[in-house]
Amino acid sequence: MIERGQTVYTNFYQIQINPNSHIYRYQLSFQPFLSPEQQISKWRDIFKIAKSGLQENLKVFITNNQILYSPVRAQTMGLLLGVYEEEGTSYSISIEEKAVLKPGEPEYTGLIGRFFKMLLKQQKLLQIGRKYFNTKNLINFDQFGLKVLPGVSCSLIKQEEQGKYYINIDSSFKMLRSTTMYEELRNSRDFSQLEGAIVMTVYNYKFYKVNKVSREMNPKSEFENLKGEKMSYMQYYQDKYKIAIKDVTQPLIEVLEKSRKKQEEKIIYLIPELCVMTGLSNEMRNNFQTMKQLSTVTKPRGVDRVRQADQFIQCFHNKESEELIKKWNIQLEPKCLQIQSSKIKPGNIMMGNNTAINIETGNLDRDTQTAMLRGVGLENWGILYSDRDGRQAEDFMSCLRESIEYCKFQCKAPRTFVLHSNRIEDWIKQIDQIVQQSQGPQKVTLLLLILNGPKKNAPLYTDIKRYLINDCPIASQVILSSTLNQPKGKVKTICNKLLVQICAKVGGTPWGVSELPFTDQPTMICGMDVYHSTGKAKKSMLSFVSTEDEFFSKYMTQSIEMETGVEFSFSLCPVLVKSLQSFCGDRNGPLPSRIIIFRDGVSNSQAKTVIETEVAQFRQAIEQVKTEKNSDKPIKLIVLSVNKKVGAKFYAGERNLDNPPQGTLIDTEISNGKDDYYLISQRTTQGTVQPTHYHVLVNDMSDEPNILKKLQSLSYKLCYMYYNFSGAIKIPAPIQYAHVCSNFIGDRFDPRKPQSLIKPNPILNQRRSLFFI
Amino acid sequence: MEIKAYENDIFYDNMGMRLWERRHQQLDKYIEKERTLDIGCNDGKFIQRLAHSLDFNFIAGLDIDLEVLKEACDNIVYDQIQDCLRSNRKSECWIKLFHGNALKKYKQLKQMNFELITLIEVVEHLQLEQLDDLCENVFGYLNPQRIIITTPNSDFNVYFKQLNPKFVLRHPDHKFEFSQQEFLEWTSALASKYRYSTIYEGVGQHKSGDLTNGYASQICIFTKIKDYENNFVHDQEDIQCVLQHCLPYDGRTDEQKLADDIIMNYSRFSLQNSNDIDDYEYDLLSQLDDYDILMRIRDLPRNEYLEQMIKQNSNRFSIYQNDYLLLKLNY
Repeated sequence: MIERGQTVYTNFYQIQINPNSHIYRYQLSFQPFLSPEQQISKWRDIFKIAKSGLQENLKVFITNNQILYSPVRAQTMGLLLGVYEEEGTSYSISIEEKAVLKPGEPEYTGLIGRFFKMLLKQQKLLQIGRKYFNTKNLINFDQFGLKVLPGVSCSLIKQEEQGKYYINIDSSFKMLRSTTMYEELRNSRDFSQLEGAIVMTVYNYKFYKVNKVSREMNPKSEFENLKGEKMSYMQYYQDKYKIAIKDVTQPLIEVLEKSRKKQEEKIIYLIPELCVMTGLSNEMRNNFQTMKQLSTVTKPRGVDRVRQADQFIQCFHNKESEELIKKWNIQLEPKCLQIQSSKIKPGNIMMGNNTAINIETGNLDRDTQTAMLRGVGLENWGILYSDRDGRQAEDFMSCLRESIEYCKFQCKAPRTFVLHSNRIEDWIKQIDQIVQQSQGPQKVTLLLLILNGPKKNAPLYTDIKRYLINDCPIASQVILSSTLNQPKGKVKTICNKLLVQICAKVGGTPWGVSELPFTDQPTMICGMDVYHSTGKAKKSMLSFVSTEDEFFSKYMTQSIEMETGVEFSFSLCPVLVKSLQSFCGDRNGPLPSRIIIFRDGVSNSQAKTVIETEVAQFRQAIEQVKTEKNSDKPIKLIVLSVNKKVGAKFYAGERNLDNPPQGTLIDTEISNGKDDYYLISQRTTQGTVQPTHYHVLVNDMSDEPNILKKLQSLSYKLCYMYYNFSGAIKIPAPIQYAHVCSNFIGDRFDPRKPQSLIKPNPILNQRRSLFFI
Repeated sequence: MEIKAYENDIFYDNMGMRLWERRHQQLDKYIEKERTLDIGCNDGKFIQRLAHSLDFNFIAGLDIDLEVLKEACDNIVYDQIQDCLRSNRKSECWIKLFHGNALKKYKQLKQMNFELITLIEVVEHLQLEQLDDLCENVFGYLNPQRIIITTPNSDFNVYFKQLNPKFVLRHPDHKFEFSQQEFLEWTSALASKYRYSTIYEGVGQHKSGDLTNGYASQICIFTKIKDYENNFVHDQEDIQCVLQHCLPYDGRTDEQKLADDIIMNYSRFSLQNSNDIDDYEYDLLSQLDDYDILMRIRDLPRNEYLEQMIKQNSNRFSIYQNDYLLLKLNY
């Protein structure tokens, strides 16, 4: 299933460390004895005295609190570095060797990190977080009122087990607007819209988040300077930068400045005339021309990224830096790391009537428009539309009839209902009527609604969906009349895709993927994602989906509200219990013997927390269900964290480096080879593909042969199982379902109106309906 | 040794400004909008500061080091402040940078008729015997209205010596540092020779407030009393211009700017796109042509130029029902 692939280029640069080189840890010693507390409080003065002596002796060194590190062994032990005087006592200072550090030790690793930061500081670049920009590379897009600041994000990756260090470099861009905040305020009706925007002060390239626009303040307002004297903002800018502020009545921008030394926040005020907005405005984002032009710069292809990274690495090869690197017995590879990759065979897509489509050679988009793997008969369903969309609805229905025949979709003709209003009350009344008329076996299983309005923002959409999920659970499919206002050929394709979605919504299986691993025993695959709202006063939403069939295609969905910004939940135990109960079903089927959970959005540093809090809950749930069912068969748990926001990039190709093919797997060199791997599952036509990183956090099956290979293969195959797209997506389908579900609910939930919460309905769940796609 | 590392121990600035920034700021009151030449401009920081003022039309810099001149070019061309000042700047301001030797008499520089020449922390980098050549060039040959010289005050070095007994000069490239007395003698000799009057200043006070050793930097401002008659022959060498840059400016009148703003952003102001219109406005809109855009006058920026703007663009703009502005798009 997994074969040898091409050699891929990466954006990692190896740091070679001479295995025989050591770093020495020193401390200052005092004669007579000076207590550590006194040392700390007087460190600055002491260090100043000792500095020149240290430089002569050690050449290079790094200080960390009161500890000194150097690659040089001090020749003269106990040498007098200087004399520090306090309150009449003279303390003679000398250095004392405390330890020898070898490569691979954690303390050594930490030092490499510090050394690397020091090196970056030397480059005189503008640093924003982990990103580095050279302000002289600014690209002007005057015609769009934009400037693009290209830079790189740069981080040190430690592969501690193998004792290897890499620098990871990826292109990054910052957008600056040409208009000042002053003009922005002038043209703005509502200042509150600017709250939360990021502004840059042009005189020192600092970035701030706007707290609010303060009309009570103006450039004539006064503040206290470092000496505590009152001073006006106008005078300050006149003195410091010789800038005369023109409009003395403009309001000021209130921002919070975090002080690095003390962990406190301070309110400061900025002058709109001297700030520019960053990022794109909605107008720019909606302008196709702007975005197209921008993407030529901000979505570079592989070749350009490699060139940019090489260029950045070059800046460590100037004389000053090179000398420093040499002194620390380190070598920095000027060329990027190349890795032998593997390739996963995706297998076939299985459709109805035993049709199999070869994923690698077939045209998925076209070929999946045929009989579905396991359809569900649609006996009773209806189409609702308003009389305004009458013409489109007629055309659509004839198209739909053809599609139904073509896809051999088992269903009876739908009933149609024409509404003469666009008011939500009338639609709900109509739906109620339909439901009442069709009780018992005649019950309506699906409603197709034709709504009008703009994409993603049709006026009735949210209310109707909420009603059809919370109050009157019926699977529903909405289609916009504007979508239907297209040439017939297009509408036909839309109809075919619509049927796939309808199939998934009423609990059918549109397609499966062949040779799925882990199908030999009952296995449950789960996906989990947390939605974080950007707006104020919104809550985070966690969704959990779990499969119940051998194709991994039927899902049970649950969601829980969480406090804003919390990534870890403490109520997972009951969630998994419910999932497991549902897996057994009403007929009391067997429990799964394995549970594989894909977890999104956990960074490496958070992995430990996940294991501690979430996995413990999962285990508790498993035990609980086992006792309940009187089962003593072991249930094995595997938890993978899936991360799509990683800095790694891979390129392949002979002459022009471009994206590697789908299914490329990287599990050597930069991964530890045991429990993590990078996978490229999706196809990207514009820019550079973003690989997905998988990290196995818990593995109860680690003694099974080839378990990692099986997981790799499963991860890739599941990427083809998202029924909203006929192809592979970035992440396995269960995560995507969880993600879409929590977005669907989170976007529509306002905590101030508790009734706006959409809850996954048990009746819909019984039908294994993917109601949210 | 360099004094940078010790600055915080010796000075205390109420605005967190560094000594070099304070030095530049101290000169503000002696420079208004003259055609200025900064000799020894280094990375262009002083020129950058002058260029933040909207009053200058011409600023030039001269340095002997091509490396720092390159840095100066970048600093000046990529100064983001200039883009913010663009709309306030009404006329051209040219910045030129030259690569050359301050001891040489360049015809091109003479022809530029500088009114002001600054020598900020420059003289101490020359050998003492070269000073005469420099002054003959600056005071005699170029002979501007005003000359400003700043240089370290060696009397002040006692504070550095307290911190580091090995202290000699403030920068490895300094050839000498004048005491207050030496500076006074040298400058007054120059003033009487080339017919200039002098004003003395200082910048950088020890944080104790103690002034017995003067200021860290001493400044002399020379103002011309009488032209210096001379028959100097200029050197044959040509000076090399490494940057000719016009700062961005906006020559439009405020009225024109307002008109352009409204036309460019009409969809932002248009009542048609507003979501808080009342019934009266709804009626108004229904009477309009397709190409007419209606906006509330109170929503518009820079109201003060509105009347004038409408007068000048009467074919496109008109007042409608007192409170509204009508824009004809199909004009």
